[in-house]
Amino acid sequence: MNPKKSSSRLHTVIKSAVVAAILPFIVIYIIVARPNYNFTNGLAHFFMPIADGIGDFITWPLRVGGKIFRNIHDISVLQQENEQLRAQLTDALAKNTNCDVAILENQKLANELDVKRNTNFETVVADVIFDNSALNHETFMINRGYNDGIEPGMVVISFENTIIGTIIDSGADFSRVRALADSNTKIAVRIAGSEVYGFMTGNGVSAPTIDFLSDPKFQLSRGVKIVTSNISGILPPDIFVGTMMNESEIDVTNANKISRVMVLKYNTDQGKYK
Amino acid sequence: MRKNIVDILRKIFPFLFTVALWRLSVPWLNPAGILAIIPIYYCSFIRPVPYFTPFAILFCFLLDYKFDSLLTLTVWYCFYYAIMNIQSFIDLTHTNKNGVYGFMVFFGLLVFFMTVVHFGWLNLLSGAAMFLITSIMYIPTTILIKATQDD
Repeated sequence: MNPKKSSSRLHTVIKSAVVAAILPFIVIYIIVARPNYNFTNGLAHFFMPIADGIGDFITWPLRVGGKIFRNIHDISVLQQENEQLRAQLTDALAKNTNCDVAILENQKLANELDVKRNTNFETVVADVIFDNSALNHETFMINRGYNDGIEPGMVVISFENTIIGTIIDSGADFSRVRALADSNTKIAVRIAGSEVYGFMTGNGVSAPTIDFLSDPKFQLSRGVKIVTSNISGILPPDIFVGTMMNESEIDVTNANKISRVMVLKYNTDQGKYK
Repeated sequence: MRKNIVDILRKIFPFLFTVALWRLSVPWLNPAGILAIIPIYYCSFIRPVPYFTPFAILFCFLLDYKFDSLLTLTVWYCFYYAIMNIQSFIDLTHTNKNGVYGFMVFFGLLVFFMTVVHFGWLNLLSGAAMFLITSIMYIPTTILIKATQDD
């Protein structure tokens, strides 16, 4: 037998045995560390920026090329969009007057009924850097992390004041956000204009669904607006979630349609919303 | 001097290519940078590259992080690596078409598992699309790696 060949074979077997030895550790770790997985998240916080930096350095010509192509496309549709926007602006200005009246009426009624609202949150503006939507998962990354005071559980909203998701992990300068359509999303919601509560569940790729209504007789239909509820004590109340598309599915804002978001910081010392 | 630089670039190409594919993630075409699994598979099982295994495990882990799939890919890679190297009955380094069939088994089983965990028709469709795109991209990607490695 060739000694060189047998030593190479032995080397391969040792390597594969070492790799195989990792498996029981991973399985034990998955069982023990749930649900936070701090160690793996910590590892990712260390390696992600390095890999990301190297990736940025290698791929910049491709990304710049892509950006130029997108910009050319954007400019080509801009004129048409501008005309549409002008028409919409005229319409919106007309509606604005009605809204101003409604807001004043609302404020007056809220004062009369002594309704107190906590809608002031300190916010952090962040850019979406990765859209990781794949299979049943809808997560994305933003370029702000615990250096900016972002913590897991904080709510991410769009500039239109619509909820986009929640922070599930924060590194030094990046955070991972679970979008509403993610299959692990389960949030307490309320039907706007009523006292009917329910739970919204993501299903991966399509629109999230609503069920477990507090009033089983309530008939959901297309066009009904859904807002967040603080019934579970996790989310701040009254943030717009989406509009019902039919009797069960909600049309929400997906992460792939936005490039910038706002993170609502906790407004209590206990890491919660009031 | 020039030859040295070319040699270094040739050696680090599989590593850089993996990082680039992971970084260029785009929903649907390259969700969460999953195309990086092609050089990971090819340089681990078909044309083993020295010191690539720890790097491959790291990138499986980073893919898992972006996928939010809790070490599924890492476990599957380690398991497959151990199985393929401990036994000597199946030798992937001598398979036809750059080992595309072996890759389809490796990746197909992984996608199947990840799809059935949250079964739904749209998930199934998305999984099938991901499998199809990755399998189609396998041959051109591996030809590119082969070409740079002067095979």
